[in-house]
Amino acid sequence: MTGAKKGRSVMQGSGKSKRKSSRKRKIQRKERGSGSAGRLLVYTLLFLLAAVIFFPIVFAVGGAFMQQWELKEYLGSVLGGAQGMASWSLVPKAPTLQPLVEVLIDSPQFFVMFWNSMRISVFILIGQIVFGVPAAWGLARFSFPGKRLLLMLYIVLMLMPFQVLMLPEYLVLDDLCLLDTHWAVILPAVFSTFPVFIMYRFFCGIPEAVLEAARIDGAGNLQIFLRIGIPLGAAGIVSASILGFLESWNMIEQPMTFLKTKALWPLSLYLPEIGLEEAGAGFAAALLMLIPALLLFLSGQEYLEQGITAAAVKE
Amino acid sequence: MDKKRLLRITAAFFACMLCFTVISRAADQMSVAAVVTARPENKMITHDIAVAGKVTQNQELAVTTEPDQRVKSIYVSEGDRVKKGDLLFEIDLTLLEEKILAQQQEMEKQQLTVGDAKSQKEVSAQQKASQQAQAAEQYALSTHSAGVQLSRAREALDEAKKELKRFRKKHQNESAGQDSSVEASLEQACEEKAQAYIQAQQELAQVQWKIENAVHTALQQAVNNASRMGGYAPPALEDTDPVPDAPVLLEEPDEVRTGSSDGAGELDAPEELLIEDFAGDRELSENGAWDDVQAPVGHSGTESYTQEEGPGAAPDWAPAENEPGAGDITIEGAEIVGGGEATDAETDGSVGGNGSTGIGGNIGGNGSTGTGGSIGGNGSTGTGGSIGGNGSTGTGGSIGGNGSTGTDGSIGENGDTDADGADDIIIEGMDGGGADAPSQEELDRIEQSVRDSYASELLAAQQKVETALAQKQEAEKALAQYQQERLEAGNAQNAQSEKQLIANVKAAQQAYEDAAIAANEAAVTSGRAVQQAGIPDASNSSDRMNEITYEQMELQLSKLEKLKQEEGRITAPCDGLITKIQVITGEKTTDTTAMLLTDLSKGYRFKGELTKEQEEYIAVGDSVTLRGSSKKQVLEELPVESVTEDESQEDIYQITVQIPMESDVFELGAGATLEFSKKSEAYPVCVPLSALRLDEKNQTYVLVTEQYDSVLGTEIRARRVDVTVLEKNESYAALAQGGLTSQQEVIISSNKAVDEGSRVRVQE
Repeated sequence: MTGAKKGRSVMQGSGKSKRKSSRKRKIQRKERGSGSAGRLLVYTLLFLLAAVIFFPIVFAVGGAFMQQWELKEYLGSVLGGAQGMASWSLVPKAPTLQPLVEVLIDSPQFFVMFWNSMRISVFILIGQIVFGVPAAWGLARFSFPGKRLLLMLYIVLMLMPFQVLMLPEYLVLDDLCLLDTHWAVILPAVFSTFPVFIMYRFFCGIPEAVLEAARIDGAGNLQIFLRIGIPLGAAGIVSASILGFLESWNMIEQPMTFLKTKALWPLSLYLPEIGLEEAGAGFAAALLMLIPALLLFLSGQEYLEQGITAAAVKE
Repeated sequence: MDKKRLLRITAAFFACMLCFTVISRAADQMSVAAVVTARPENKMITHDIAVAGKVTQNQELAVTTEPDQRVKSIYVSEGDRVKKGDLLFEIDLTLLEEKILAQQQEMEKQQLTVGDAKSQKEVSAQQKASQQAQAAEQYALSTHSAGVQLSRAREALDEAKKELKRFRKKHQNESAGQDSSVEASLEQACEEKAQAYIQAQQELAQVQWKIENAVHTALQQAVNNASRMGGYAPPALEDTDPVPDAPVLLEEPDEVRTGSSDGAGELDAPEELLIEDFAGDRELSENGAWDDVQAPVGHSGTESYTQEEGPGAAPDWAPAENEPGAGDITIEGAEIVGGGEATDAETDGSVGGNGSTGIGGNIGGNGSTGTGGSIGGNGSTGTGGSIGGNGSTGTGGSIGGNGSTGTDGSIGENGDTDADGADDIIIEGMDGGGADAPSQEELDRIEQSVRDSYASELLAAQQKVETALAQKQEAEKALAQYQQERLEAGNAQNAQSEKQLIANVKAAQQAYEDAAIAANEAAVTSGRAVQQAGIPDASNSSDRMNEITYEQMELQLSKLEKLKQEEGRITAPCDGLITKIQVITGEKTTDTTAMLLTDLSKGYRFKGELTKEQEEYIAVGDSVTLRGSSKKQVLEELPVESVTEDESQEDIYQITVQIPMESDVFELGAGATLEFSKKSEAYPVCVPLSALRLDEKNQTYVLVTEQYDSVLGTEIRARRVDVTVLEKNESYAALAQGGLTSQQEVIISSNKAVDEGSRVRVQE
């Protein structure tokens, strides 16, 4: 369930962005003045798609306000071994705040995990920015021997799934005595190739003429990077950061593999501990998990859209 | 969306999360139980026992006095200490004297009663003795007179026959042609029939006697069995012969002797009888073949007296006892006595009782072996005209008393052996014991069964008598008819006189027959009377009982007199303390205790009650400490005297500790505490008693702390460990090794309920 949920929440994030972008496109088409009949059909289709994608969120929010007996009635056949088919109601029969209170007041474990997740994600984010931005700038703006090979390696590594890297990573971390610490999760993610690749594309999009002008004005390489490269590539950096945060926030295999001490576990491992008896608390916890990602997305929405647009136009 | 607003929301969210983090942690900590733990220790389990009890006396004495006396005054009160000989209380002397007087009078009365009972018993004993004597006398007389009568009848008959023969001889010539042989044969037949009739009568009487005897024997046996089963052993009636008691027999010889002193003629008479009956047997006796005593021998006697054998034959016969053959008879007779009635039926002409082997006209009692006209009592073996008492062996006209063995005309007294000894023939006398009689119905039943078993024999005997009588009458009739015819044929006068003679003979013949039968009956009836007289009276012990009562009264009187001698003063039997007074001045004493006295010389002891648990650790001989109410009252190292279970209360035990005689720490009746401490062996795993918990299945367990890894970090929770308690006291329990190690922290207390799996916080 938890895996599915996670997948849903990930999808939900991307769904939202799609919705937003489709709205933008609608506006663009309006401006162009296309046929109204075809437009209605497209709207209906998109709305249906959006509803399907939005449903898990409604599901989670509704469940967070349901009482235990109601959850049992709906999910008993799936989780509790009862007969019949699982069902769902969008609106709780007897809305209650009990699951929420249970999570917030009676579960110190939740908060331990919440702050663990927060710490891991923030450190990863900072690490990616500190190491990823210069790397991307260097790959995009300098030419040196073996650059193409290096890029190729980056792409290949980016495509590698975690399952392939798990064992080598484990052995390395073990040798470095980093197992069962947060660094075991943080360090591999800091040197992830995905944000470098994203930012590389953005830095490549900065016109050479702007850099020439700066050089003429007597700016050195560092000045050009700090004063021109970062501001102009900000959209790419924010995009990479948001995607990086979401990834590290939802990270589940790495902590499960590398962290043995329960006190170090992130929030993504909280839900697997939940059974039918605490299903309400599970929904409430899912709701709370959603909030940071949503806030981050809202704050970075502008840059994210910009960056995507820029990349689409320039390339 | 506005950037600032978004930032505020984000900040608010994180602030909230931070806030709830703190709140939830605080709430969580509140639910965790704070516990105190301890490690299992290696120590000994000491059992401290403190028992409250009392100091009591070792021995209590009861002061008693005679009941029903008035208490004049009491000189002590409860709790007083008295010395030996101190006056305790006094009894009113006037009442005591009255009592003594009354007691003396009672005793006098009782003495008279005792005398009465004694004389009563003597009188009844005398009566009994004289009864028996009378019966014996009657027996001797009647049998004797019957014998005399019989012999007289025989004489008369012989006389009549002689007359007839003389007459016939005289007239033989005249009627030579007449055939006298026919008449002779007729007469002989008639004679034979008469003899057979007498014999049948005798047999009948014998059968009757036998039945009576058998009944008596059976009853006696039944009584014996019953008494033997009842555990009472009366003089055993080994011999079933109903022999009269010894006293009777002691007197019997006197009677017989008086009879015999009348003249030898009377003595001779049986002799004649015998000779006539056995005249035809002389050859037999001379041959010494007496063993073969057979019926035909008797029969031949009929012939003998027709041949007119004279009394002179007697000496001829008498010496038989000197021959070895005579001895044979004696022995045989004795054997027959033992063997019962076996040879009875084979002998002829004897009027015999049980086991008699009579040959020819003897009148015998039990077990007599008579030959020729002997009148024998019990077990007598008479030969030739002997009149014997019990167990006498007479030969040739002897009159024997008890156990006498007479030879040739001797008159023997009891136990005499006049000639050759044959003591073993003496029949053991016996007393009819006063056994517990079986019920009357049972006796009746036994009697009936015995009688039934003899019924056919009796009937046969009766029929035999009847047929014999009928045959005899027929023979007589035939003879009479023949004679009638003959006489009618002959001359009238002769016929008349002969007829007269024949009638005389006939009459004499009948008289003889009657006498024989009468003699038989007399022997039977008087024998029975003797037997009955010998049955002892019911026991009577009232005289002894009266004596006992008297003795008891004497004892009572002596006590009263002793009290009087002491002037009614009751004194203390020893040094002691009066614990209870049960008499009241002016009231009468009872037969229970008057006063209770503690014997101070016997020391004190401590008495207390133990519970079952305490009892397990304390044993006889353990050293304990006794503590009184004040600090000075301490006695140490006292051994436990006894630990016993209280009979009235379950799981309560009584413990006693002897307090040394020389110690004066404790007063009698003071409270004290017994202290005792027992150390066990060292146990490696001991936990405080509060650590032990019991589940619903009565399994004992302890909770140990256990660290575990949780989301909230390393936490401590309680884990259950099942244990077995080896021993415990009020504070510690020793556990079996295995479940718990000395490294584990055991929860001994907590501020809230802790169960298995509960998170706990260890308090230092």
